[in-house]
Amino acid sequence: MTDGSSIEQEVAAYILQEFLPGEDPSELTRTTPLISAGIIDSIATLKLVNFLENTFSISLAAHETDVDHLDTIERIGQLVEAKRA
Amino acid sequence: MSTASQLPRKLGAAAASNAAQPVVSSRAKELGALGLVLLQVMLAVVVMGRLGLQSSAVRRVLLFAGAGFVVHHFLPARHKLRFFLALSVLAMFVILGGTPHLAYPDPKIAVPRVAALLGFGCAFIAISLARVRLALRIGALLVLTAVLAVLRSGWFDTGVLNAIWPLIAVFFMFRLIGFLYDITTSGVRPSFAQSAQYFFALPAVVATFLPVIDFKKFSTPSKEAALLTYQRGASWIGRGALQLVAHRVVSQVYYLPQSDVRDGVDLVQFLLSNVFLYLKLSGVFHLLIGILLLFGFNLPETNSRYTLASSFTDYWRRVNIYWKDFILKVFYFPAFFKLKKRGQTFALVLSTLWAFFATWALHLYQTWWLRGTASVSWPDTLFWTILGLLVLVNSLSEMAATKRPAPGRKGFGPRDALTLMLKTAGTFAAITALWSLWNTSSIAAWAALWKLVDLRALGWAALALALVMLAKLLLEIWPEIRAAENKSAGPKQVPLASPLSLFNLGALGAVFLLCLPRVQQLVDHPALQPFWDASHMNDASIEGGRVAGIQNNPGYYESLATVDNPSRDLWQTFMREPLGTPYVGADPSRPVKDFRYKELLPSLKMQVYDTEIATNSFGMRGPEYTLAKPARTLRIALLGSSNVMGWGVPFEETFGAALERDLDAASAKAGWSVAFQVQNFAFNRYSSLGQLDVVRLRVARFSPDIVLFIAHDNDFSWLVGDIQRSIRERMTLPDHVALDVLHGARVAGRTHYEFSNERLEPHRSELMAWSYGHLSRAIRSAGALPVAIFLPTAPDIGKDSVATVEAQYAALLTETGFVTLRAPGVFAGHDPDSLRKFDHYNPLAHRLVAEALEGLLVSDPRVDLRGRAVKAGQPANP
Repeated sequence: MTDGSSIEQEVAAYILQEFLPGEDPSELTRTTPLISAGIIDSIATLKLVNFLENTFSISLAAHETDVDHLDTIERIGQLVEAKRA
Repeated sequence: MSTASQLPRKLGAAAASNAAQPVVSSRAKELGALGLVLLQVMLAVVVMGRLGLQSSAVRRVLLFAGAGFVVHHFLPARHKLRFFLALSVLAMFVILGGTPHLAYPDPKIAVPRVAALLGFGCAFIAISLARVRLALRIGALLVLTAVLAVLRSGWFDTGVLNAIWPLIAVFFMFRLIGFLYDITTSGVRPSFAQSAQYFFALPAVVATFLPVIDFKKFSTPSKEAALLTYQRGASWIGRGALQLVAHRVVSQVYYLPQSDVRDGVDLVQFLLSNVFLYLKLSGVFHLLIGILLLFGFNLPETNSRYTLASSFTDYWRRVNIYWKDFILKVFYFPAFFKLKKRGQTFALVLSTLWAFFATWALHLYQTWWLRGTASVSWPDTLFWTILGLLVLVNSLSEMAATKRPAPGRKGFGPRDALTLMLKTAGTFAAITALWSLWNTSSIAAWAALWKLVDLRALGWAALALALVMLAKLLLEIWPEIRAAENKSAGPKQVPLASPLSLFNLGALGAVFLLCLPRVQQLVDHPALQPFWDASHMNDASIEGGRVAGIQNNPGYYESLATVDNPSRDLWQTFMREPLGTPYVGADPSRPVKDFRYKELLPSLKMQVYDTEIATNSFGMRGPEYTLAKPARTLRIALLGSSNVMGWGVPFEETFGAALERDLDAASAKAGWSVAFQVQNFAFNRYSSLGQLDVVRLRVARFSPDIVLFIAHDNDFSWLVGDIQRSIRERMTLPDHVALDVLHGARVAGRTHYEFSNERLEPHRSELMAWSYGHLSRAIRSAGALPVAIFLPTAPDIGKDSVATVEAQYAALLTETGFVTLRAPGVFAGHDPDSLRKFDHYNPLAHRLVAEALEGLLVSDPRVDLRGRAVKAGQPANP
């Protein structure tokens, strides 16, 4: 990833390390679908939520685990910023 | 601990999907692509019609979809929603007005049904969208659901509306839960029209099983090029049709019920045929979702090669994606988030168990709505419990582990590939065993099956698992590796047809051609026999037996067809075929291990319809008899079907009882000084092989003077069925003659009865002569005179063919050693409907038969009733 906020960069790094070992990092963009493309499954979603809550000191609700909120790094960034605002 | 990657990584494909959407290069190409989509849909309809797959209602909805999507495509965007809604409502009128009696929809039926469906539906939607507190909305929905439940319960006969209550449940029972959750958590209220479009969507009107389509996914505008969505929809419709063809072959040719498993090889066949019964649900889901894709709804696939899952969590995620997403959203994640303060592991355990408890409970809920009855069964409960625990163990493992690289990525080597393949085989084996538990009558019966495992079974199982491993390699691992090596950005132009569409067109075309009689003659090969056996049937007759309660149901989804009035009416609406009237009540019989298969219970007294069925201590209708024949008595043993037994008729009004009275009267008038006993050994569906066992095992003990056998035209199909059953269950036939005939006609133990009857028709006389010959000789060996008469069954009375058939049977019975009586005009002059009750002889028909038989027996010199009576009336030698 070459653009986006530091939140997005941190999230991207986590996703690459945790869920996409061996992948070419340049293929993971801000708008790459994660949940809808099957890259992140239910257990991975819980791990991601745990990471976001611990890293950014936010609290997510159950309904915020869907594609509207967590499907792309861009949306995750927006969610985190909204929670911290 | 690391886990090998499971679902194929889609990072490359995901990136490609984000690229600019391909465009259509020209109008001509657009029309060509649309035409190929339409061709695929129409070919699916033709193939499904040719093979009688699913109901005619499903095929009509596919036609609606095929015609409608073209119009929908060219409409301006602002009109698309209204058009789709209008098309869906129109389909409701056409489908719900279906009746077995008319070729067109009956408005007198359609209007009230559609009104009820729309009325309840709009009420559910209006309550859900009402701007009041959630608790109030839930309360109102529960009240409305309770009203619907009362109507569904069958306590009241609601006439033409009976069929609509289970269908309303299908529309709303699960999707309403998800819909309410979405609008509550998102805070966004959709419009009434959007909601109606979701709930009343076109394919729902023919769905007894509807995927739990997510409202958000349904309502999110698609970013994909419309033609690509249509092509995907058409290819899913084609795939659905092909899966239904495969299901037909599996369920009708290869499926082995638990009761027929005799050895280890049978066990493997039972296990594999069971797990592939899921093809039916998968096929139907592909059809229904494919229809929605034709209208631009960009929905995900319903399942993803579940036989290639490499863990139980992977299986859970693949086998029914819509259900999994619904459970995750409404049950799993909310539970986890509530509990995670007490620790991740604790939350994971409880939320997983909660998710599977909800799945088990909602399946029971579904069963009640569709069947009108539901009960907890141990195999079902154990199935979901075990699956839940297995998924839980995998989930805990995944939570703790780090992911291994996917196929084709750095770090993925041959050892990872082998590990994945072995895990896939292990998962497949476990799921297959579990699935068989779900479709077994009891845990004890299921456990007993495993004692049959032997070396041959292990060999076949190993072969099956090796094929699964090979499939994993060829269909998932290798393509992933190739995709990683050849990254492409995706097409810039919409192709005329996708590769999958072309494959489906070819496969459907091949299926269609193979169904043509001319092609079957040209390509006559035993390897294709299973397909031809299966293609010769149709779901209307297969499912009609199940819905009418005549045949057993092999699996959970098949068992959701039922005999209560609402679902019978719904079935008749979809199929436009009439159902017979089943007997619903206690079973007056018990199984036996010979060709009778069942016999009446002894010392029985019960109500069957409006008639009492009582049996003596020997299990016969009638008074108590002694084994030893009383002095000065002539005994006549009656052999026959349920018509002869007197199903639905008081014993005193059966022709056997009337014949006894008439012969006693004749004896008294003639001064013979003998009493007659007419003993009724008849029961339902005894073939001539069954009658042979009746004579050997029961009749002979009573030393009858005459055995009177009532033959029907059903004897041939019953005989064929019993010979096939003897092959499947390894029962001993009197000799090898019949087996040689079947072998020569390529009729195996599992050949469907429609096909076996057709192939054996040229051998009808030979087979009947064989069986009747054995029967007449057995009767003579028992010291009795074999007498026979052909009588039509109640449904056959009045048919033009009866006279010809009677003459043929009369000749055959005489050839095979019977003294043949003839009464071809026994029912002449009577309206056939006036002679029937519950598809059997009514008291009037019995009276007519008794009079005819009395006259024939008394007057026929070959029977020599006078001579026998005189001899029996003489005192015994001192």
